Amino acid sequence: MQNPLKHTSKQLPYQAPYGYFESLEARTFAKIAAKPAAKSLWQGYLAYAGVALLLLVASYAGWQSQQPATTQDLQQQLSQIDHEAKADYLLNHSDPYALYELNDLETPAAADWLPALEPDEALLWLEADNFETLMTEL
Amino acid sequence: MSADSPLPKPPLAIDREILQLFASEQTRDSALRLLMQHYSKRLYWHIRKMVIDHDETDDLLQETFIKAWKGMANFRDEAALYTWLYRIATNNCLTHLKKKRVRFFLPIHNITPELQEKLSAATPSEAAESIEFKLQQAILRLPDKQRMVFNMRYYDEMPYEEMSQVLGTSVGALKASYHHAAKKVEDFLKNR
Repeated sequence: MQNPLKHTSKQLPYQAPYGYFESLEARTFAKIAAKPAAKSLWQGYLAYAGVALLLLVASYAGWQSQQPATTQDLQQQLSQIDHEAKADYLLNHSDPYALYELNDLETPAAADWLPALEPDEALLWLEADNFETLMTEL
Repeated sequence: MSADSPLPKPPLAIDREILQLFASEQTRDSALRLLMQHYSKRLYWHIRKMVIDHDETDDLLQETFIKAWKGMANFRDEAALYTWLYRIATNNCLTHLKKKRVRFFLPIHNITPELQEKLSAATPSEAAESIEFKLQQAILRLPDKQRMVFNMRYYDEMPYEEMSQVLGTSVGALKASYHHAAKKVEDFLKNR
């Protein structure tokens, strides 16, 4: 066989199912009609899911705001503040609530984290002019 | 066996009529109807030769018509309507095959055995020894785009200039691609 392609008919060995082309038009129109409906249904589900998620987040945030800050939370917040800046702040400010505001801390919970401070941090507190006032407040 | 390839190209007057019907909201459905009447067989076989499976072809063909219908407002007369439709169908096919090959976090999947199986399943047993079946087996061993070029040239007898518009490849590159594909197919058939 010199060139097999020249001896091959251009027919394919398989066929389209009987009646396929006759039904194609109706099925394509049905698909077009179904698509916007499917899309709006999907959008509806998404909207419901979005609202449910928002409610969940809002309720969690509300619940979270009612919880006293834990020692770990406070320590984490403290660790985010530059040590020198914190020392400077503690030594130069007499208002104990200023630090709470700075760290966005809850006053009652500070009693939990104060003993957990590193010694040098605790020393800064002890050296602060307002320590007694602070302890009274706590 | 199918005797639908190559199909005669619909006259340009049909394309003009389709575009005119599409221009009006009231006759837009008629435009799609006419489009399907004139192009469904050509596009069906164009897609089927690439994906082999009838159901996949059916999905891709409907997607092609829906995309064409939705995009017809942006269609410009620079290309013939049928060239544009071919391009949509071709891109649909190549994307479909690529999706089958590439899966998340897995090595690229060789789909040739799957296509060969589909070919065997679609071919009636009396045609399993035919030269047409063997030719299809040989074509399925080609890379996707080379296979597309081979099919368009060999079965559809599409001029290289039109193939160039459909595939966005230069005429020279298409000629080289067809030459390589035909050589591979001939070698496969000679060695069987």
